[in-house]
Amino acid sequence: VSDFAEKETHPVFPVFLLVDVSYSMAATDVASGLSPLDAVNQALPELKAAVQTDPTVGEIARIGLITFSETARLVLPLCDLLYADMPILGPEGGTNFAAAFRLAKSEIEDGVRSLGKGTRFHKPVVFFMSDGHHLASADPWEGPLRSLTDSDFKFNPEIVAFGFGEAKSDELRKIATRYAFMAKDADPASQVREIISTLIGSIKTTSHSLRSGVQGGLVVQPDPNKFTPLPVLEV
Amino acid sequence: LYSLTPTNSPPFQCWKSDGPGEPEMPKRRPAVRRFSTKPEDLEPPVDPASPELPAAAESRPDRLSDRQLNIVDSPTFAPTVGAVLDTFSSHLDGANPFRLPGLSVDAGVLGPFWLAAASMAGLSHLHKGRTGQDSYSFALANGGSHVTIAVADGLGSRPAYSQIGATLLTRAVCNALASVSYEELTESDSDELERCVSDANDEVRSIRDIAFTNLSDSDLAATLAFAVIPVDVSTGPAVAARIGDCAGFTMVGGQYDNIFPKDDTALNVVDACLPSSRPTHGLRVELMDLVGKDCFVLTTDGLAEDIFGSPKVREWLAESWLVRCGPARMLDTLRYRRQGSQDDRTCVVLWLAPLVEAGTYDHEELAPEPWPQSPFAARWNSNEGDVSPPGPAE
Repeated sequence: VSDFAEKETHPVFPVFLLVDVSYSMAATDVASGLSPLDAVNQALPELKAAVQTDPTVGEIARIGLITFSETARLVLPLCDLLYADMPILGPEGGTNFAAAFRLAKSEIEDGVRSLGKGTRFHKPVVFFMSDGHHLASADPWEGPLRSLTDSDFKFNPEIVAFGFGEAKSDELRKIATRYAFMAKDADPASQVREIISTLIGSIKTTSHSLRSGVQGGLVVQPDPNKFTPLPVLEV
Repeated sequence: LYSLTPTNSPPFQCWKSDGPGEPEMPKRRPAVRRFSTKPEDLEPPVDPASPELPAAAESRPDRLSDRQLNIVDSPTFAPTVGAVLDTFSSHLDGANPFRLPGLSVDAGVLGPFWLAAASMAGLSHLHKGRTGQDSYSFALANGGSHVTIAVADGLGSRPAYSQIGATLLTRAVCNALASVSYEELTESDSDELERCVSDANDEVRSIRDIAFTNLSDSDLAATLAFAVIPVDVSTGPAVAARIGDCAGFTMVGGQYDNIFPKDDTALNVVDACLPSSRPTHGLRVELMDLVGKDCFVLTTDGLAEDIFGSPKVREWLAESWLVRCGPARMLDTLRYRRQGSQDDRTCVVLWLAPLVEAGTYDHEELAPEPWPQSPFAARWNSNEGDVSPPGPAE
């Protein structure tokens, strides 16, 4: 097999958003009149705008969106957001982290491979966001998570975990590979807006710094007044 | 301020000393010392796990792209590949006294060879107002037995400094390898190569300990590739080595031959770098016969990825390097645009054919396309009209 690509390929930075769409995400906050899902839907166009306005992101970032409740669903395949219509998310059911991790693994691999043989990629990043905890006790999530982050998996991602509402710190600490954060007191919709804003900043900054660390330069800089960093645990 | 000493000399001396023994250190700091090397002075406090420095350019919402500013540069035949965006802007790193030039280039005779080398800061660095982090160097061995070339790609947990590590590493390793003969380096059971890497690593750390006392190994981290090429390639193999993901190629008739095994894992994860407490960890050494080869090339990974991943870029560079390049042409070879290629680009190219007088080979056939001419240049060169060549202001 030649080391040299026969067709033009372009290096990509794969990013997946894993968003909890369980029913609790649809609970409307009295003060703001918004639910967390409303906030996600409002913020997704901002993500697209960030990609459009920053060429260092726009040329390399490929972004996908997976929602999870009792099952996981690919609502936006890994793509160039410049040419994508942003989906509108709705509530769907319970909370199953295992389904989310299984689908994330297959979609990261399929998404990068679909870009063509020989396409080089920067270490994928998964932003995980949930307001609750795993409810599918018959389907443990630790195994699928280990499978996703296993160093033998060629496309193993870094996972950044954001929690708010009823999310459990211990679960977030195990899910994250490098950074885990719990949103501080605020209404859930505001917390979601802060999370999306932080991950947009992370995608932009990481795109600039992909070569700035031995482990790949993932940068996440949340507002310390709005997030509590959690020490990461191994599963 | 700095002078690298030969490897077998006393340890690195910061500030000049007239005699042997301990380096003569100044009694006090230089009177004019405008720049601090303390990380906290150059960087706002950030989470230690977050390596990026907020750059001045980033905070300006009204940033205009080079296109919007109507910036004009010399024309080039270099290709554009893929869906590239024209909204990049160029911002100079005014806050970093240790920034590198955005462009570096050399071309000339080195021993029996013609060498051309160039380094260009990546679009992503320019857009964010950061210095490039690549470096190259070269040396002719003290005894004249071989030529050494090196490239390094600064990583660093603090992007303000890794270019210092890259710069020091390329010079230190060339210096170390130049102090050993080709025979010593290549005889069986020799560990001279490993010793040179260790010496270079120690030299960088020594400089760090004297001049950049607040910096750590990770602040200066860089990947490195180097090669030792005998002045008569028929006398033995060339030695190429790397730590990390820099690359090397030999070329014949415009065709590339990859020297090091290609890694197909994530682009931005490297398994080894220098300086380090284990300097030969991850050292990979390859020997190759250069008889019949046209060129020997070392590149940092940004350029290597373009060579591996883009047939158009590969062809452009191969065509450009069919002939020995002068400095301007060498720089021009790096001016292609490829979607997603935003890293620094650095290469050292050594043409292996013996230097001969012009006219003894078919230069016409290999000559590059002429530069496109602007209407101004056309009138100036033809002495028509009233356009005068530029001259001193009156």
